[in-house]
Amino acid sequence: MTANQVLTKQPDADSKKDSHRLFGPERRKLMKKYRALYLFLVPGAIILILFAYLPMIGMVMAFQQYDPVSGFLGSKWVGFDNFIRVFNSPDFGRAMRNTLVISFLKLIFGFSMPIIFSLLLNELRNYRFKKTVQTMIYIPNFVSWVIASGIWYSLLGDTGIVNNLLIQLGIIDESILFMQSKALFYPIIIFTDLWKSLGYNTIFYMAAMSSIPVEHYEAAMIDGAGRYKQAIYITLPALSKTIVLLFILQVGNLLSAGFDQLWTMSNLAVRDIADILDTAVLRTLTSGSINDLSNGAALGMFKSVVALLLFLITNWIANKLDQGSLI
Amino acid sequence: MAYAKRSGGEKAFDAFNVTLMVLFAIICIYPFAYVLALSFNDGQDAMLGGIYLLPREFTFENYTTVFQDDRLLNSLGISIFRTVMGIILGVAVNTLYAYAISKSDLPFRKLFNWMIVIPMYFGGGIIPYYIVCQKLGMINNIWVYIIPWAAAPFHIMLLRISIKELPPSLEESAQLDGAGYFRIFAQIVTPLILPSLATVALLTGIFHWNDWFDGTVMTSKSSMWPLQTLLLNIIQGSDMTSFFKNGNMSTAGGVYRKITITPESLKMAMLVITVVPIFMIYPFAQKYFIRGMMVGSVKE
Repeated sequence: MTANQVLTKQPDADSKKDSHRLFGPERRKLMKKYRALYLFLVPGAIILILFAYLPMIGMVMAFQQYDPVSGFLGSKWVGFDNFIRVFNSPDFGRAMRNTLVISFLKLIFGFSMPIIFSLLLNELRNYRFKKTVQTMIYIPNFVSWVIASGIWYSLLGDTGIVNNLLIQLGIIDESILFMQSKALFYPIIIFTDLWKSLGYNTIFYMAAMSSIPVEHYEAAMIDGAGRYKQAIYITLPALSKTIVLLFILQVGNLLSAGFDQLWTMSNLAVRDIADILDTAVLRTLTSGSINDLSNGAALGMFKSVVALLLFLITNWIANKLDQGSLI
Repeated sequence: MAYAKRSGGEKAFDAFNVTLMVLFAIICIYPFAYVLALSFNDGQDAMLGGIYLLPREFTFENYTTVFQDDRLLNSLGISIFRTVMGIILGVAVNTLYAYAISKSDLPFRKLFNWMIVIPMYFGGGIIPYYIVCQKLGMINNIWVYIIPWAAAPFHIMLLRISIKELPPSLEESAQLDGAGYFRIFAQIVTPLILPSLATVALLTGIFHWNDWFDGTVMTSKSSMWPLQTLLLNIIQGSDMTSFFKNGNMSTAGGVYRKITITPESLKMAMLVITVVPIFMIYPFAQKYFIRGMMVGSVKE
């Protein structure tokens, strides 16, 4: 046993020392042994370099007056001009405001509801009933926003079922133009977002719950804790890691607000309040004006960098908090 | 879990909870049933409203009209092609990459690891991406839908985790028998990670079938649109006259024919056609999706 450990440890220590040199003899030997495996990496690496890393390098165009003939290398450098122009445009202020408002609304509802619903799902006693409910509530997640948008446009249309029911119940006299209403647009966005993702987002929490040892509940019951107290003092704390993880991801997405949804569900009547940063970027591409491209790239870069920073900051805070709570 | 005897308050809570969950499940499913009913209903009749669960004037007309349209058939073909090719290429590229970086003593493994981690959190944005694809001659080219997505960092991680779970002894004995890495990969590793391969194949397939963005942005020709992009344009009010060319709307035919279809009823049929593949695989695929999500949430 000990001999084995020494034997297995030896090369490990060697390779540690060796790793200071890029091509030490040990590594060269390994590289020779694994040379076929480098071929395995080639297709993936080429695709990532071309379609993930080249566009990252291409971000330099945000600092250029990009011109397609000269490309990234030959275009004129203009420093932060594009950024200044973008930040000063009225469209940017509008898109930024809409993005933040929609994101915060989604953070409030889209983040808390899955936690509440998974606690409620966990309280269902009949296993088969619970499984059936779960199967049904995951489905909307798997259809595209194009489908979701088509469905909800139909349900909320002027001859759709929602108007139909409201008229039959005598609540309204004339059809409401739901999708054209500025006042109703954000509630509809939040509702349809919940419709699509709430069920599926409970999966994370349900998984975390299934790993809670039964003994914890048994001990709590002996101490006289009812189901409500068990949910609050045992289930919820066991979810804290998952909650923090999902929170970090959501904060990293604060500037996204849900591009697919807003592009497919918005229309001219609500454009003012539906335009977000991503749709503004895309419009510089579809406008067909070459001058816009650098502005779009600047806006896109701003979004990417802020998203990364938000992600790193929340991640860092979460780490700190975790350490603090351990003591 | 064993519960103590239920109190009156608990009974009330259970009743409330079950009702709420039933309601929630209905809200999730019912919209699909509604669209399905409308798609089988006479379009003119549907405009009167009042259809909730079953068609009132049953007809196949919406579907027969839609399936006679060249644009729809063309887009359907593009969607099927990119989904099938996307799955084949995606599974191959990702599994090969995952197998290579699953060797913990592979020199430069860290570099190749970082190579998939960085794009998960940072990207150049759509404009530089578009320009790169343009320079590579991929605009208006069907492969722009497929090749850039063939390497998916999240799927590589998922596959790497399940490859790492395999006992190393299996490979070692094959190596003693003189098998090279290609043979080990094809004959030993791949068959043992079939559930993960299924997960990746299904997630990739769903992605390709559902994607409408590339069709909107990476091509200027409507003949290059996948089904989802065509549907989006129709929902957003693009021209639907091509659907009405078979004498349904024309008076030139001479023979009077009752018009039953409407743009709205055709949309319903198209929605159903686009969503049916998802519903067909969902019962079999559910456990793989959830599995994929679980593995993904416990990184490293």
